Amino acid sequence: MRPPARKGSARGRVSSSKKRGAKKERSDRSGGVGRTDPASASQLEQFVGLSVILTGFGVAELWGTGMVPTYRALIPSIVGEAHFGELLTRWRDIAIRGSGDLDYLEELVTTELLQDDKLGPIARNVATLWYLGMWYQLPAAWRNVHGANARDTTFVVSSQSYSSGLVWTAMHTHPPAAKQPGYASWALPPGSRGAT
Amino acid sequence: MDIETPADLRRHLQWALELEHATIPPYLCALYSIPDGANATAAALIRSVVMEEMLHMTLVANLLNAIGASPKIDDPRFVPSYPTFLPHSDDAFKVHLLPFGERAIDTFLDIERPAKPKAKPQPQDYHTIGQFYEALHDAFVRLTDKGKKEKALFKGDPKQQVSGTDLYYGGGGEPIHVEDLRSATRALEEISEQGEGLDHTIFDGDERFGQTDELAHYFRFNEIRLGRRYLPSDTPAGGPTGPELPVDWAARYPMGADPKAKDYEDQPEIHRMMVEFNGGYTRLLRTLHRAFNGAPTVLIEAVPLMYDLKYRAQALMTIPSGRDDGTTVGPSFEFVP
Amino acid sequence: MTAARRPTERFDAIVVGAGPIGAHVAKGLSAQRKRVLLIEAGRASGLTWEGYRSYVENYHTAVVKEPNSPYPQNESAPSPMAADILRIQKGTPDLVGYQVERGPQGFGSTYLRSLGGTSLHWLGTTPRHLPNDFRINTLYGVGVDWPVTYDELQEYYCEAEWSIGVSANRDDQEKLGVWFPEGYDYPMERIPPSYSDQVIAEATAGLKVELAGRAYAVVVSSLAQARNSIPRKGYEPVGAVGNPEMGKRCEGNASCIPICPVQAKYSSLKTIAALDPDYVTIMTQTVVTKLTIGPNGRIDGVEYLQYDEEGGPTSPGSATATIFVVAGHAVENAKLLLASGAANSSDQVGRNLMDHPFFYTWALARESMGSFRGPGQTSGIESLRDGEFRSEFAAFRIDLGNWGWDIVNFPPNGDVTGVNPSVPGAGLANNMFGRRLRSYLGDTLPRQVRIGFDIEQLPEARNRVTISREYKDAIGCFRPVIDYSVSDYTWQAMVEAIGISRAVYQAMGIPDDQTFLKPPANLPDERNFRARDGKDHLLHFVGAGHHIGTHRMGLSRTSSVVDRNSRSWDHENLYIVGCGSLPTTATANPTLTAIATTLMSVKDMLTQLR
Repeated sequence: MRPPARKGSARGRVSSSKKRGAKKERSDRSGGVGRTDPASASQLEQFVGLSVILTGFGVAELWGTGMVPTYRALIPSIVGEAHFGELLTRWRDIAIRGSGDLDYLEELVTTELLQDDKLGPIARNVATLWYLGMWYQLPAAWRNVHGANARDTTFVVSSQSYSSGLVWTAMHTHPPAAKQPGYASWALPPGSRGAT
Repeated sequence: MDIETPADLRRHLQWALELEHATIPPYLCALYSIPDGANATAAALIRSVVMEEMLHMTLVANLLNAIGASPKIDDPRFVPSYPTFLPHSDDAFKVHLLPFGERAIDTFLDIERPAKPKAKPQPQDYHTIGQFYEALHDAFVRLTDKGKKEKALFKGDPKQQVSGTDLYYGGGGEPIHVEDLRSATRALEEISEQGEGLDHTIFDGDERFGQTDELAHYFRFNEIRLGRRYLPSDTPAGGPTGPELPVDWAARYPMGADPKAKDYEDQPEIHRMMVEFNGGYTRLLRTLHRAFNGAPTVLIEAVPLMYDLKYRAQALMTIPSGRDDGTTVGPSFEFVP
Repeated sequence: MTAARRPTERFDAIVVGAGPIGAHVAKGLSAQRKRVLLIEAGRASGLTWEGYRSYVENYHTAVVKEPNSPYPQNESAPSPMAADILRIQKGTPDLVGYQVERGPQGFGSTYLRSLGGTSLHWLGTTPRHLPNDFRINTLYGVGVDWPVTYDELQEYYCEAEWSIGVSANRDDQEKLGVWFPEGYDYPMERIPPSYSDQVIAEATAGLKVELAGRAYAVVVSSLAQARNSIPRKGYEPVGAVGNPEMGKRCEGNASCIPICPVQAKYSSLKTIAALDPDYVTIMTQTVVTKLTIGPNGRIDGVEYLQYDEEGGPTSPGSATATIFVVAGHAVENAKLLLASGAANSSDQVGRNLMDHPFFYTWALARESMGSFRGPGQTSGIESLRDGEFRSEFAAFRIDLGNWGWDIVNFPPNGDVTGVNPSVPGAGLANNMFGRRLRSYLGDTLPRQVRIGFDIEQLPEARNRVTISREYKDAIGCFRPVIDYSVSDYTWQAMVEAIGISRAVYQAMGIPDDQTFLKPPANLPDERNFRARDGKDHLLHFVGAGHHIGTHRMGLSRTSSVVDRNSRSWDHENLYIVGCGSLPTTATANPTLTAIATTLMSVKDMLTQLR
């Protein structure tokens, strides 16, 4: 069920980059780390934007994992270009309507994306890719309706994806057996620099 | 102008400290621009050089402390702004912060280039680092005046010396406890020989310091540059004649040259990451300062800081710079006052 | 290292098994210029840096990060895998896994058959046994006494600690009767206590608990462990095999179980790599199937099967020597002896199988503990490892875990996915995503505390490893068949552990609703136990991976398999060494004590090789 329109929201209007002042956008063929207007964002930028909202990590932080191109290519290779395209289109629509209001944006993501039978499981998998470096096999209910791809099994994408899992950063630590923080770091109070 | 007095010597040793440190950010940028798993041999070689440069800093700190001087590290003036000439050199070439590549390695070769045989010691405006250290050594000899002034010169507190258990970075070597001319000579020899080689050979003579002989830095870089390993029988003139050393020059994150935090003020997330890196780097320098100024056991605190910087640097290396040239961001190694 | 395929020379000793025990036998004998054939069933990949890194990569990409996850299952020399064990229905032969379990209690511990053995995946915990541990029958009327005392073993403890490299401070360890010779100290300084340890130590300062009517102090102290730290005079830390500058200090990888990526943790790869090839010949991928017994009762040879490819064809062979040393792990040793009809006039081979049932409780502290950092354990509570109460229930060594609720619900995956999260309602399945998910992970998981109890278990003849013609592996060797149970002596200690946990969590100021002292219902193998006070407690434990007792040493040939030197009563040139020789579990992880008894045994072996 869609939430009621909010006063002053950007719903229904094309983006509000103008509201934030006239800073020139940095260009974006590389997928862009500056703020980009959702309406004109490339697929890659949309994918990164969706990942930002799903993970709670920033654009630069996501790029800093080195995994953006890998995940961008992996997902459609498992769920198909059509489903991936639909996911990004739904996101684009949500992003335009929720632009400038993060709380509202998250509400839309919950009700119109995560709770969607077709796109919800894929969106959740985008989040688990970022957080854990793992792809989880889509639920049987999804596979029965939308297709079971041979590549759709539960697996860790690579050693690098494991090491780049954001869950460890969120937990203020590091992935076991990777990115080790050094001798005696565990004795430091959490939150001190180098604690990890 | 020769090094005439202990005060001169202190000043020139401080220059040595700046010099050793100035090479580290460029080496680290090259190293951290190599993705995990790629160019494994080249990365290991660069890493081994970095470890030894850190040892050199420690040795210079021990030399300073041995003559009762205070190493000064926690100061913006200690940190060069890249691109830079090597501190107090003859300004023959500039050193940039660059990703791994032929240009970076060529610079490293310039930095570590051995002096020609019979080259004169040069206390400033030096042509090679080896000639600078030669001048330092001569100064120590002159100032101890055949032993007569040795005790007066080496008046520092032995407790300020950094020892082998204080410093462990995985293979740089043992710091030498400096307390007299003999140990000062050893320390200076270790530095210059690890860099340019012992007696105009390709090796660093580390066996004399209780480690295995390894290639001097210049020759390690040459192996990478030429894609070929040295055999023990090779000479500097003859070049490496051993097996191939595979190098994939393209397997690196294309960090833009000499990044600066202020260039990214209009990309706040990136800017914040750069400032955080620089904050961590500054904190590391302050920790080293404390350790080299009477609290050597504090070096243990430097270890987690160094590891943390590595991961931050690697993250910055993979972020597109947002310019249209395909470059990525990279760490700027700027001192945050 | 290429394995010698068919050595033709005569050996002084054949040693079966290249884990820490076999490696130390080979080391001790070869140091005296005896010729040793060291035979290992598993592979040697860990000896090259590249091979070892492939293990690390296996771990990174493993979906289930269990203790053997870096080390791929080897059809020709299989090891028990945790995933298989958890699936086992007691009393039903398992068609996929290696271990067959008859129950009544599940036996959940794994080991590893490989060059390096279980020391590849162990945590590296190495406290000494206490002097009283060797005499619990005399002192407390339970279990059995050992045929050696702490005083006799003491010098071998020192030797073992310097051989494998143990980090500890003498004054932390000099408690409960543990004594050291004048001037002795451990080769390396104690591993720095974690932030979490420091918080708990401060909170529990002065805390006492009551066990069987007496008060005991709760004291947090540093854990002795075989993990590289700052060396003391006279010791040089041993780094990684094939990359010696790596691993000379612990770097905080926080993955000790199942693998230390830099080899700061001891594994017998280090001992093996330093063996003199002039005296030691190593054969890997060679499974010893039988000891052949001569007419005079001496062992006169071993039969083996070699394989080039795992799961591929095998070719048989045999070898002979003056003495034979079976050092292939408690379970495998028992299997081999039973298969050979050897060493069993006492009928004790395979019997008295023991583990440390590992009981655990968990809680959510009010503030971050910095969990999920550092070695798995850096401090513990060792002050309850001995006392009068041992006449009534078991003692325990308390493990203050550094890895959050690790064995409880295997975080953090479930907290991200929302499948069995630490807090109900968390995770993606519950529509927690983005900023909220990130905050939840950052606020909650670092507050996780888990306390574990390595509890003593008494020897019982009915707990055993046997073999059966019905259960064989891919190359025709016997699979281990396990009968296992836990007695009230140990269950009661778990009840006591609940009380101790409660006291510790309360001292930390953790409210009751954030402390978890009993397992969720419906875990396999949980037990509703009626304690001495008449109350019922729901209890659950996991295996600690400590296989003990299956060829125990003793004073009498009728009730033990080997003598105090681990020499078989029945075959004068046969030694059976390792944790299987230890007659009781006490509360210390067994490997250090097993190495110490092995070093003592090596002295006896040399008397046969003059």
